[in-house]
Amino acid sequence: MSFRISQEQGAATVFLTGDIDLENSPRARQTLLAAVEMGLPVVVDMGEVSYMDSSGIASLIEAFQKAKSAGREFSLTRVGGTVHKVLALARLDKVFRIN
Amino acid sequence: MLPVTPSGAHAGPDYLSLFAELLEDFASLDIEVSMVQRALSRIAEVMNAESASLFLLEGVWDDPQARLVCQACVGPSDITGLSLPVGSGIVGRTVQRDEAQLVADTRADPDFVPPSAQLNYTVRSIICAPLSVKGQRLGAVEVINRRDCDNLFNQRDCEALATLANAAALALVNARLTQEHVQQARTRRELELAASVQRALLPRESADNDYVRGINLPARGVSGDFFDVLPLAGGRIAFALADVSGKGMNAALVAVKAATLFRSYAKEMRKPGKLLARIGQELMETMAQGMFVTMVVGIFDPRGYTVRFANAGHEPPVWRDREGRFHAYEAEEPPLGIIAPAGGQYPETTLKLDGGSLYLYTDGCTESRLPDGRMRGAEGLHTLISQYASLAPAERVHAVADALAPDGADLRDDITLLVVEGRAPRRQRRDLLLQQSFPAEASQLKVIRHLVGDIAARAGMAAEAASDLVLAVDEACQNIIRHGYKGLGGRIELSMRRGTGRVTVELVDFAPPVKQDECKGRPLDEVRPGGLGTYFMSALTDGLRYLRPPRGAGNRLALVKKLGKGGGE
Repeated sequence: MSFRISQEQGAATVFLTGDIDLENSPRARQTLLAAVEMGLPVVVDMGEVSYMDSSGIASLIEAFQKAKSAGREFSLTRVGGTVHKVLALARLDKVFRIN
Repeated sequence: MLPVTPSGAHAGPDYLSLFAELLEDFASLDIEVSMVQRALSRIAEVMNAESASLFLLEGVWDDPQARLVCQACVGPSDITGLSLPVGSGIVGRTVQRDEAQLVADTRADPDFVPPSAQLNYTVRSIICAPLSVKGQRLGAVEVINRRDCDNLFNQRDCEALATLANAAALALVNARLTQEHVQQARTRRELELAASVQRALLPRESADNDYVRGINLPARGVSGDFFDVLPLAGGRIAFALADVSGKGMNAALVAVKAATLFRSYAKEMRKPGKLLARIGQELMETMAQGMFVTMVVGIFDPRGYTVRFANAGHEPPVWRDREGRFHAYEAEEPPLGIIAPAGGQYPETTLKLDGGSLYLYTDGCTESRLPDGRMRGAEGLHTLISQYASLAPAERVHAVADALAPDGADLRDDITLLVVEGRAPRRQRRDLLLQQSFPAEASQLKVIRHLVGDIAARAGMAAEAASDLVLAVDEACQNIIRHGYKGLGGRIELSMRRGTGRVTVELVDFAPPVKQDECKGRPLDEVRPGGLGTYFMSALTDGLRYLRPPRGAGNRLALVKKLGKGGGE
């Protein structure tokens, strides 16, 4: 089962949920790449993510790079404290657009 | 069912009431002779017949040796016990054709065999109906000589008897099934009782000591395997492990006997070779022909970590040396119960364990199946032993047995394993918070995170520090799963210890050793997937060290985290 993608207001929004760890990040990666393929700006809703490790971060980076090379916007929204800390630790809080 | 009563002159016997009465009797499940006798009396009475008898088939119908034997009878001459060959007479013909026979007048039937002259009894007319259910022949009911109507039976009488016989046959089959069922239940109860008696007699857990530990997981029912550990005076420890040939009660009783003999002789005999010979001699005198016992008996001396053992036909004990190499010691003599050993004693092997351990096991361990259905074999068992080599002996035998027989596995054979440890016990540290082994799988990470977070909090770590530690441990486990075991699986041993103002998490794996310059973090200004984990591990902890792994293990990593603000003791 993959995560939900919703197409609204001209953007593809991916809703990640739960623990994005080694077990779940392959699904997250698959969903994120599918969203990039849709040819719309990609928004990743992190509101329901309770935990993220380096494998989750790697999925985000890969999708971000795919979107950037295709000239599409890639942003994160509703980033909670726990996830923000991990992003900051990886110095990615400055790389990703976080709304 | 019943033929219409012929011309109104004589209404004939009241068969309907007879059916009602007897069918009720037949519904009862335990048929007794008295009940059969009563039924025959009633049949004779209502049919107005001189005699009635029940014949049952003894033996199998197709077998020419089978006989039809009279089980019960009413009438002027008692023929109970009369035994007829299956092909003979009217009864024989009835059973053979599986069809009711009316012999209105015996003088006109060539198959009729008159009763012997001694009985002084004239048989004029017979009806005989088969007792059979779906072609399974059980016997027949025979009724002789009608008292009225010139002693002759008619078709109506015959059909009535056939109907009764059908019902009786069903009742008989049911009763036999019930009896079989009761018998089976009784046998099963006896086996269960035997198994529980045996379990009480054989040691399950070894005596509490730091060096010799065993475990026995019995397959269903009684077991032919056992082990025993017996501390002796002066600190020495005697041990035995055996497998009795065959299964079931006989094997179980011999196992109990062998275990008892070991217990009583081990206290006074210092030489395992002689002890084994003595046990063998006793067993040989009492054991049934063709039974035998494979057995290893040994004595361990913790001063010098020396073990001396003798082997009668058992799987070779293996010594896993301090470098993790296995050495097997094949038995030189046959199992107990076959022939006395040359010179009256079994050859002994003396071994300095030198930091290694000696393992004894039964074939249930090596013949257990891997998840893919292949047999584990000695090498598979050695791999398991190596995986758990860093655990203390008692935990180690449990861990190996658990791996051999995962929860709920239906064991084909008993699993019995014993370890003799050739090194000083690690001091039980009071600061140990957690010591647990996990499969190296992504699905375990959630469990590991939960445990580490929970224990760190209980050890007094501040919430933020605890979540840092959780992430660092998660990253370290990921490294082991992905880069160490390359996703092929293995074990991760996780321990947590409390220090002054800090918690240390140690992770031990059995993957090939990692070169430490390979696990440097990557420069962060380079945005690419991967390589972040090691950086996280060092950034989120107050210390990260690769330590010398325990013997047999691949890597050992320690992560230190301070308790943080508000924490401390």
